[in-house]
Amino acid sequence: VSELRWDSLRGEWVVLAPARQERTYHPPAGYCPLCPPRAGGPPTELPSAEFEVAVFENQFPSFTTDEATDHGVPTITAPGTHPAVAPAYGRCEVVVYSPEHEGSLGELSVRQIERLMRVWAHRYEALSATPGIRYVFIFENRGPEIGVTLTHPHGQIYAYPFVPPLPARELAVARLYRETTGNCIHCHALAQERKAGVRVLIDDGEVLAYVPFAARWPFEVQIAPLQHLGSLLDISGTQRQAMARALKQVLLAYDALFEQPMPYMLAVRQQPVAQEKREAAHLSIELCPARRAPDKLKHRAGSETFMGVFINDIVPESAAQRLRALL
Amino acid sequence: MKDDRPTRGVAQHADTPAAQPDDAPMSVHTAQLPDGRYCLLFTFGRNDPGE
Repeated sequence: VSELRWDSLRGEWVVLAPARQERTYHPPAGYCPLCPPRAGGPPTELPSAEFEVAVFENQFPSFTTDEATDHGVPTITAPGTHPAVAPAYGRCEVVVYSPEHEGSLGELSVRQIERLMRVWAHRYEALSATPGIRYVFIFENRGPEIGVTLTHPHGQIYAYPFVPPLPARELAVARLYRETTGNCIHCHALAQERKAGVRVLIDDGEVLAYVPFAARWPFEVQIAPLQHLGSLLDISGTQRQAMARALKQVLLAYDALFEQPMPYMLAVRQQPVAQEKREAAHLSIELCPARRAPDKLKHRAGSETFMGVFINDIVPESAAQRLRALL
Repeated sequence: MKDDRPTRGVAQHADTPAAQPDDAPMSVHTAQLPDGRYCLLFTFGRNDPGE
């Protein structure tokens, strides 16, 4: 059973999930748990082959709603200066991008990525409406270098019972900017990037894909709608298609960069659930690749882990130039 | 469903107008896995897979 432990020195929650030690680890070919079931084949997590995108509860979750069965929905609050324990209440879902075992998110058709984004919106709305949930995080880890143990194209969704530290900090910055200027800091950043141009990869009038001015990871990219949208629930069909197309272009450029699959982390950044002044948040897709050269990885090492200070070997303007050449 | 076109020069085909944005009706079929977990099967532009 998972539990939350409050680190009173750092002022943050840590999730202890010992059951995840038992999760499926690089299963042999033919035993993929994310493939549709086939006659005479081993059982999988999916009851049917009739789907284009599938979502199921993670068998090895970090968060679970089981805790609510006997005690009701817990309210998770920061306990302050004393170590404390709380139920690891929440949800963990697996999103299977396609029935096909081979391939990757970037290799899906634009149409299939649009549909995946519609499923993301469905889950964001449903999980946001779940009592006790404060933040819904849609993400993908890609590649064994990132620790991925299943190769079938898939992502995950975590529904947290609190707003995690980084989104909370970003929201605080965005709120302060909004209170000071009356504007969205993300919209401002997008306008600045369009004006500068040097880090822009794609600007189609609907979305902007660019390497951030202070990128932390080599070849880091953000894709955001130019219009101020808080979540995928607000997006139009045209905007969704533009985001899907931009995402595909960037992911294929990643794989072309070093002529090998690029390990990356993908995050869909959206408004927190029912957080005061959450409208300050701006929808975006954030991509953090881990490869900085054909035979070199970027690791989250001492400075990043202990100090929270990223060291990036690749100058953002150079990263943008190299990625643009592959689009 | 998978796009097998080459990875280089992706802008050319990714930028090809894919007709209209996807507006096919989305259906969700909810199934229960043997251990009680839920599974959602999403289809587009066809009948509910559970029907």
